[in-house]
Amino acid sequence: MRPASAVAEAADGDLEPTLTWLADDELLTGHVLTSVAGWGPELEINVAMSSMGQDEIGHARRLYGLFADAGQAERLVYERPAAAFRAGLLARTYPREWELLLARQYLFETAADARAAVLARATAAGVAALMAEMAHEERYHLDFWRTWLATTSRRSDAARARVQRALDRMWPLAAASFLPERPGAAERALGLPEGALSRARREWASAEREACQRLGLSLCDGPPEAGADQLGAMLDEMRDVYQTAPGSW
Amino acid sequence: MSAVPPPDRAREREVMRALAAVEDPELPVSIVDLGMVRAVTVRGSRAVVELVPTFLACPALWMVESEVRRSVTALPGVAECEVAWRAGGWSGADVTEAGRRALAGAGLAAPAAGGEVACPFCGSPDVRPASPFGSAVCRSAAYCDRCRTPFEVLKDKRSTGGAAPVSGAPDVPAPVGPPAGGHPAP
Ligand SMILES: [Zn+2]
Repeated sequence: MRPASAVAEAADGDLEPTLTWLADDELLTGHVLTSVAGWGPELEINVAMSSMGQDEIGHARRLYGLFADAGQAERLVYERPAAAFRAGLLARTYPREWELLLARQYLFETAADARAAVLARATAAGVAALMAEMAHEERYHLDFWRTWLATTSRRSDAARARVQRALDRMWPLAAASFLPERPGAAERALGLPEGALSRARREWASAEREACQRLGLSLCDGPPEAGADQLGAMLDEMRDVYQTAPGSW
Repeated sequence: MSAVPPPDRAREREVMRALAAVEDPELPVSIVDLGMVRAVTVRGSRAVVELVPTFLACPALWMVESEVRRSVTALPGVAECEVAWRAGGWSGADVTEAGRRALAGAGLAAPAAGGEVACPFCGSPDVRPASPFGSAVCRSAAYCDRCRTPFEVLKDKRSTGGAAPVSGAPDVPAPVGPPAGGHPAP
């Protein structure tokens, strides 16, 4: 049997990867939202996407800040190899049309909200307070995407069919992204009851199935589509300016 | 180990006066009028200023922190100033009366304690929300049906149904500014 201290160390060992996973999700989503602000059909929608994108990038900074100083956080964003990113598959997609963005963001926000409710009970230093504060702010995002999912899918049969096609592509990615790579180790590192994250995932999936059903939509399980991971392209875009003179920004 | 000195109430009032001169760089009000200052404690030559963030992504927070530190340690008898960020769900309703007047002059409204919003231009309560997202992360957009003018409202994070603010809530991590060496001016 391993001594208690070794067990504690193993548990702590998963804290940084877990926080990195949460932060990377927020960072990439913030990048997508701030990049697409401009092609929404109305000024208000573009302002909203830009505002939400800023929130997500701010949340990513705070999450990196739980284990890294400002210089380290900067290097994590601008210099880390793509292979070291821990973001879920959904956050790695870069949708280029409104319904895909809508489906991605709706599923991302509902999952983040369900996870935040669990993480707000984490005992690892600083995590619970930050997640609770983040949840206050993300509620505005959740309302926005919920409203647009309902509005778009109620507009016409054709619009609902487009939303359904987008959900068919995004749901398998969302379902594969809810949990960290090692859920049990992440729960121990965060100081959560065993199985708390997996339970939250089950509840989220069934709540979203019902919510979509009420709109005449469905969430069909399936394998994540090939080519969904667009992290490389996203990082190239995000680092374009930085790479003109690495280290001097 | 030496005993902890008792709180120095007179010096705490001086610190509050110094904080009343620290402005949010994006709003024409001090951080005291904005409701960001939750507590000030001075023991011996050491001050602790407890702040709540308006919004976590607010790009001005780290500037506020460094300005607080600079102005508090400039006071005679204060050698050290710790800034502690608390979770608590800041609300536009935390803005003081003086803060409301200053904001109204800039076309911004702060909601009352019950969430009511009045037009900053004509004072009418006949207003409606236009979008939860405004020109900065802490603002939403609204429209006055009486004077037909769009304006912005400071958000009320507590009304989003998140956890109630806890007194003595644990720290939220400090805002991260640019790394040492800094960014070149844009
Ligand atoms: Zn008016």
